[in-house]
Amino acid sequence: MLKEHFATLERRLAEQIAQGEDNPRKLYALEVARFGQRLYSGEHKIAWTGVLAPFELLNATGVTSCFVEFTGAMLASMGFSSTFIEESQQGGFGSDMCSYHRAILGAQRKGLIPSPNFLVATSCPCSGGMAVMEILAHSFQKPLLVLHIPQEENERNVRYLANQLEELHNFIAQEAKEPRDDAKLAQAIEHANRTRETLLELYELARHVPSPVANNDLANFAYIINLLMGTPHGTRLAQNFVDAFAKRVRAGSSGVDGEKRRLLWIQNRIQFKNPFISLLEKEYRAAIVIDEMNCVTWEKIEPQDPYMGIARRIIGNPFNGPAQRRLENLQRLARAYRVDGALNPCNWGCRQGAGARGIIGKGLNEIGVPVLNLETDCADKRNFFEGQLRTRLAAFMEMLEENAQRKGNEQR
Amino acid sequence: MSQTTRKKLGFTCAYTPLPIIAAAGFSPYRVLPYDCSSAIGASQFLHDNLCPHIKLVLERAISANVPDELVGMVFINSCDAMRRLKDAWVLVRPQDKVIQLDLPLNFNASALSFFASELRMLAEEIGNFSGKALCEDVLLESIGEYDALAENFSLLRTALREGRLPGGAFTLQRLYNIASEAPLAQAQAEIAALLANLPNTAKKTDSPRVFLMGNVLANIDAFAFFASCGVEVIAEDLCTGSRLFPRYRLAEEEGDIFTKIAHAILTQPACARTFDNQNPCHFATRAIEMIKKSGAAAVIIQTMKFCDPYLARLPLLFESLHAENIPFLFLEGDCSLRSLGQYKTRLEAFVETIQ
Repeated sequence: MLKEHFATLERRLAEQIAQGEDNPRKLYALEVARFGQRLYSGEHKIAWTGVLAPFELLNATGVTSCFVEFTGAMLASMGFSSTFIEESQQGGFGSDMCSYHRAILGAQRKGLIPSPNFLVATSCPCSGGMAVMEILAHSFQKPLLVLHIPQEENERNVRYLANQLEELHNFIAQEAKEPRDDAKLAQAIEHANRTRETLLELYELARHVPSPVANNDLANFAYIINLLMGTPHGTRLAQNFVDAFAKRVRAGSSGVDGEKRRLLWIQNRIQFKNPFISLLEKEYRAAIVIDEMNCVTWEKIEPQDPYMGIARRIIGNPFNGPAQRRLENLQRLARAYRVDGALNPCNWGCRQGAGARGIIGKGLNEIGVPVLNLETDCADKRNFFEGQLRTRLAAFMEMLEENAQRKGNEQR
Repeated sequence: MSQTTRKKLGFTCAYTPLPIIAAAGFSPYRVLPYDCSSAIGASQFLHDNLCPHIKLVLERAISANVPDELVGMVFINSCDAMRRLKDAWVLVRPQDKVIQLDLPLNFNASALSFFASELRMLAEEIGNFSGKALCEDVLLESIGEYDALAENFSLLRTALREGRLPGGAFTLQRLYNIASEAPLAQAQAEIAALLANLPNTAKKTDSPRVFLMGNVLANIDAFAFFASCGVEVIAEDLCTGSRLFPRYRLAEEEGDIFTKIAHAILTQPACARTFDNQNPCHFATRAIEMIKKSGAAAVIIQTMKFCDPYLARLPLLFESLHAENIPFLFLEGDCSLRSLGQYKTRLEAFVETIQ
């Protein structure tokens, strides 16, 4: 099913682009379709991973690799996740688990997850994801390597993770039956550094008032860029957006017509089709100017000493370590993008992300950024209650309106 | 300083290196998830979908329902919920010394070395906090005391399995709780008195012999409840039970004292969050081994709601139990007796099927 989905998607997008509809989001979707095709073709070496896996190492060894939640999100976007979530429940997996993970487990039970050459679990971001990796390794009877990502950022911990990354590089080469090639890795790091530079340029443009970013332009963007780390594709995708946004900024046009409110989206987008985003745009002229994941929090990596640099990037990820670190990053983004408010979907079942809801809400409020906790499910449409969300969103936007008026009065 | 007047350092996880805390001059104190009337205060910091264990622990901090002598906490990075508890604890009790130990997910040479350095850091930090550097002789003595405690608990578990422990699993859990909260000497005195008076013969009972497993179940009334439903718990594998006081067996390992402690902790019976790269889902295999070894006729699995490490691994455990023809009952709890009380009919029906 997913194989056909990606093939159809690629064909359709390629046709549209050939006819001149080549906006950056379409080019991005085309890259996702191509990636999905490689993953499901049965012709490539593949690995299932955790979200924070070092994709440069995998891409440099020619392994198409993907974090498992990608499939959960894809199934949701296609409208099929609920079916597989039900299937996982038939298999005994509880309804309190994360719906991305339940969708994957259900799809695996139905034979829709290709058997990998190996698996790489990462202790960050979540315990649930780790457990899913273990179950898949057991079901497929394939080798599993577990990366323990320490919580605190210090030299000892970076060295510890760097050593694990070098072991991982050997493991990948062994399981992919390819020689470990340090020169290819250095080249992959060069690509990753170029991607990083382009992302910096892109996010700088996104900060403009009004923002050139339309609400869906950069949805899920950071996840896909992460999968493409170490390849030229990531840089190219980011560059497409840079070019388009620079043009919009020069023209003084905004991504959302008549931008009135600027919003920060916390953690993941809602993956299935829903009216929420267009409601924000059309009814409230509200632009999601920044998604939490769309930021660069790491330094350039030294190609000749890749493991230390990658280790620093992984440990320094805002989703690793205390919630306070994540909050500080959110506060930084909220200030840099001059947002009026923030939306937190609080995906049901996400202990890692939604678990910190109270701490994040309080911390953003302290800098004058109110947060609307949507309390929805990002991958299971059955738990999306439109009427309730509309009412709560209306009240939230009214509050932002009052805040804006008060600020205006104070300035006068 | 006598043990009764010592300041306390709290803990919430069975992987906590208690001998180090004690050697630094503190009394380790497990902040158990007492059945508070609600966790409304905790809900302001933590999402509703987080496990009741950590929410009730936080509720105790919010409502100042902890001993006055509690001056800090040692958290273990064991799961998402525990990380969030630590985040919230810092906000609720900013006056506390809070340390988080990063526990590796599996056991290998680099994990051992890393965890040993975490333990060194812990010793140094709490040594600085107490104003007295921790010395190896004192630490060895502390380990000896905890090994003696572990040995005594092992004797009690044997007595429980043989039906010679007065009060059965209720008594054992009461002692686990005392050893978790009270000064070590007090716990040892109670246990020694009980061991000295253990009967030689087993009490006759018709109740089915059951293995109890899961994560957090410290409420002694729950054990009385099981007994009232006609269940004789003869062995358990719980975070608040047999996994709490491992034996350190230092002489068998090489390396400095922290490496030896790290080795002992990383090789103790694992909970669901711990991995074995070579044997994914070893949790179910290990559980079956323990159940068979105990001689139990059936299993009760009691886990906290929203506990991801268990939620994800239970289906395979269920399959393995089916494959071995071992009857089992799964109960999902919230640390309160109310939730267990709702299961009374199921439990009684289960007893009928296995009798």
